[in-house]
Amino acid sequence: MSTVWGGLALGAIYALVALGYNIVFVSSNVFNFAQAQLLMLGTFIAFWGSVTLKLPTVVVFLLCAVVVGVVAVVEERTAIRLVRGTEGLLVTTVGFATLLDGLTQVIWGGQPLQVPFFGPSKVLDLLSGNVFPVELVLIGVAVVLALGFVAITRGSMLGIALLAVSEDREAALMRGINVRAVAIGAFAAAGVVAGLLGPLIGPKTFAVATLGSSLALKGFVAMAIGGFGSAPGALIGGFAVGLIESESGRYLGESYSTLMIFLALLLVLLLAPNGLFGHARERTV
Amino acid sequence: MTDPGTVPAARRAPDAAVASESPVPLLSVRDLVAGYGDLRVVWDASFDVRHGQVTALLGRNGAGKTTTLRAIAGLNKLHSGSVTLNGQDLAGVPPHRRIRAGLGMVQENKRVFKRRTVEANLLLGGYSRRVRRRKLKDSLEEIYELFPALRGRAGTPAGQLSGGQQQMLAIGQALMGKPKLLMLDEPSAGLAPAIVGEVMNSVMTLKASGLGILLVEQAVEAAVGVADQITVLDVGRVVMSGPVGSIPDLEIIKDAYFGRGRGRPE
Repeated sequence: MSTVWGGLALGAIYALVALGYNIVFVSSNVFNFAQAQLLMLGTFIAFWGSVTLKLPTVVVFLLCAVVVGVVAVVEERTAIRLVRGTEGLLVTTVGFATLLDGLTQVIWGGQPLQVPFFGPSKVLDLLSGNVFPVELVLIGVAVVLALGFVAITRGSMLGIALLAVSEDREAALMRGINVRAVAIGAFAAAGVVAGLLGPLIGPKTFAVATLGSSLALKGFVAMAIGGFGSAPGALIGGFAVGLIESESGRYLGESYSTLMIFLALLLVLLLAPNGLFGHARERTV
Repeated sequence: MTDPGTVPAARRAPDAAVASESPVPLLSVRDLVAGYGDLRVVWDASFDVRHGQVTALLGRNGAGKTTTLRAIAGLNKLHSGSVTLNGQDLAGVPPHRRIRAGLGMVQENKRVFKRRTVEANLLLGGYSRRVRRRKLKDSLEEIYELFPALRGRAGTPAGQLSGGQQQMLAIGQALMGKPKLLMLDEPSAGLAPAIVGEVMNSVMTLKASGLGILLVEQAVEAAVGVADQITVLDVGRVVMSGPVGSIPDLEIIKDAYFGRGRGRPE
């Protein structure tokens, strides 16, 4: 059971990456390849705030939210707004991700930095398995964020507006929606959320400059398994990837875990090309 | 290409005569030059839309009708000229604010949000009013009264509606924003004649309620049936403009559509 808890916690992180992809994707049809790097930046800021500056927990969260939120807005203005066409965005968002990878390595070095958890750190015995409190928090946060995302997109005017912008930008504009504000707002929101998660993810993953690329890959797989644009899909996909990674690591050996993840991805894409919860996206030509 | 000069000058009602009917038109377009990027498609177009009246913007494919609508909505570049809505100069006003200022736009090809339900589409139409969802729900009834075919289909994704129902939904969506001016881009395109009649009936109802309507159409008879003013565009220029009564014969408009130089013996 311990590996299940570990897998679920890891899966929660992948789900959070996938949710971040979704927030931006749903509202502006942009796939932000740097989303995982924003989460990584959050863990570094959490380290900087809590270890280097020794700030109180609340201030650390605020610092993470503000810094990562601002970086996300900078990304929107430089790597997204100025670019037209999906192919261009692929290059610029990957470029921004690489930039963040490099910058964090230059500032904090290549060694993993331990981010202390602000809550209790005593191992708990739950359902005959060992679990860290931070792991339970991660699982809970992922579930709550996914449900919140569903509630906003289905139940509020803002949510309807977001979906409208993603379906047809110009038609949304003609309904009086400030499409630019929505796009930048979605980036800011995804950034702030990524920042707030830094102090929660850091204790589990450490703050390390390679975190972004490994999270990006698995978050992407989680999203592809669950279905693009679906929050419940991101959650289920994330948990699936986390569980496959930890269970195959336990029974088949560490070297098999990534292999098995991609095997699962291949299977899902073969049997349900839009993912478990996705829908076909029509394109007009 | 048709030379605008070939239409008899007598057919063109001078702007001054139009403007004298009522002091302030709802929409006033003056010397509009518009196009896509640096490309100019429409030159020096001037016309008005009054409260409770329909101005039909006619012309054949590529005459610049849609470009004119898009320029009024702020979607296309306005090279020069002015667009005034209810006394407010729209120059430099971003498109979404024009909608909030009272512009209702129904784009061509029944442009509804096909993946969203009928109700979500309508609620979205009211987004520009910036009121609570509950208040918007009260307005839904007015739309269902105008378009009974939409009633009972609230939970249906818009993409599953028939073409006529999608057109009604598109109009209903624009009406949810409580516009002062409604712009309709080819509402009859691709619809069965009976449905065209239904759509035009709703245009008459809306006109009677005091709404000003700018109607772009290729179906001349249908448009003339509901219009008060007619402006005919050809190759980007206004070739004829005036009240419906001042144009004695639809054939003249049709000539502007198909061009004089058809190369067919008369």
